[in-house]
Amino acid sequence: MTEHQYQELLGPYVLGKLSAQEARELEIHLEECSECQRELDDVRWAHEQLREMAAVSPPPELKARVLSQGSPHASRPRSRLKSLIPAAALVLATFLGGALFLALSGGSEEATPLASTDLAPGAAGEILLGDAGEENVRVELEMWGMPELEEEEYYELWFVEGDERMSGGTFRAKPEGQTIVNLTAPASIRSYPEVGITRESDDGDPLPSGDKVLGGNLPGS
Amino acid sequence: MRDLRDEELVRRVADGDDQALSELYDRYSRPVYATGIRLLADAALAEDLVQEAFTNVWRGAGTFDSERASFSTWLYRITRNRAIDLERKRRVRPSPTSTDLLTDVPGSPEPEASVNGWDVAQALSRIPERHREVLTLAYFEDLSQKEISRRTGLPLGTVKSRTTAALKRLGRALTNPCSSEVRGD
Repeated sequence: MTEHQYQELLGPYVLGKLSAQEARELEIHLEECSECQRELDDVRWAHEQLREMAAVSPPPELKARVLSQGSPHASRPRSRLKSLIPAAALVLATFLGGALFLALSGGSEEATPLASTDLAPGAAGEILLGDAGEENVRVELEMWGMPELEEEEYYELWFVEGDERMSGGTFRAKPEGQTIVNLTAPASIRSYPEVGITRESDDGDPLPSGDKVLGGNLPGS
Repeated sequence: MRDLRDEELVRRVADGDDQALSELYDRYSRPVYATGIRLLADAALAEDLVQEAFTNVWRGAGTFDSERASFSTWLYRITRNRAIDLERKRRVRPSPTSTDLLTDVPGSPEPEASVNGWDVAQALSRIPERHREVLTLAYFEDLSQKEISRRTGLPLGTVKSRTTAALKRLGRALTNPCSSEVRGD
């Protein structure tokens, strides 16, 4: 057996998968070959890291459970807000007339995605602004994967322009599944180019905490 | 699918590809579960953690930004946050928001072991698919070299040499995680 052939056996050797004869031949060679001993040390180190990782595995049946709940073929929360729009618009059009229907179903009222920050990895959301009379804007927020709040905490929606912040309202969100929040805000919020959601404590301070969990840029501001 | 990088898999998950989610699960469910066992000391809660973490991956895939963090870092943060939520639910009295809620459980796998599990999972995802395949079959499915030969159709000698080459490649990926050489593509 050549030097190269001995080296090729090091992987199955550390796995204990060589025949007794192959292992014996390799061990005799290793006693004489310092280069193969160094190679063996490297291969064994990688083997131990991998073996350690493989030792703690979730039960096999868990995968099916996770994929059935998390499958993109299941109802995806992201699409729910948009799917609600035609139905909501239809109901509103029936009861309130055509103006509001056009405002909500028109192409200018696209839902804006909200991206998470490091304070809420895995969270995401969308915001939709729709006219609600001449002086107000209807704000529909949909979020999912939001961090669970303490009893004294709440989330607050902010409209942002530079250093200026205008509160759009407060709410709490379910830690699992999606949360849909409907708020009414003054029409002036349409001039703000950005939106953010912060985590706030009930400490009497009306200013934003700075603990931003979601944010996004509003279109057409 | 198996030859795709993590970041491409997340992009496909965002587009609704369930095979991509399945592949990410295969690559990372072990370190997520090990982290749950270590921090929560409860197998059922660790399973809940795996389920919640991957549900978050599915829901948040569209917001993942590979410029800000690698997938494994992103998933690790999700896992920690979900573990904090699970720990809080288990407690009778609510506690302040802090990662101090979670402490390593005596008798559970060593902290280095499960933290290292994230490194190993990431390194495995970065080596060539032909190498990852033999290691997955040997270590996760516990197949013998002959069984791997039958499963893959490779000659037994090739399986042996490839197992050695794969371990060397994995070692390099672990010691030099930023190198693109480990992938060999």
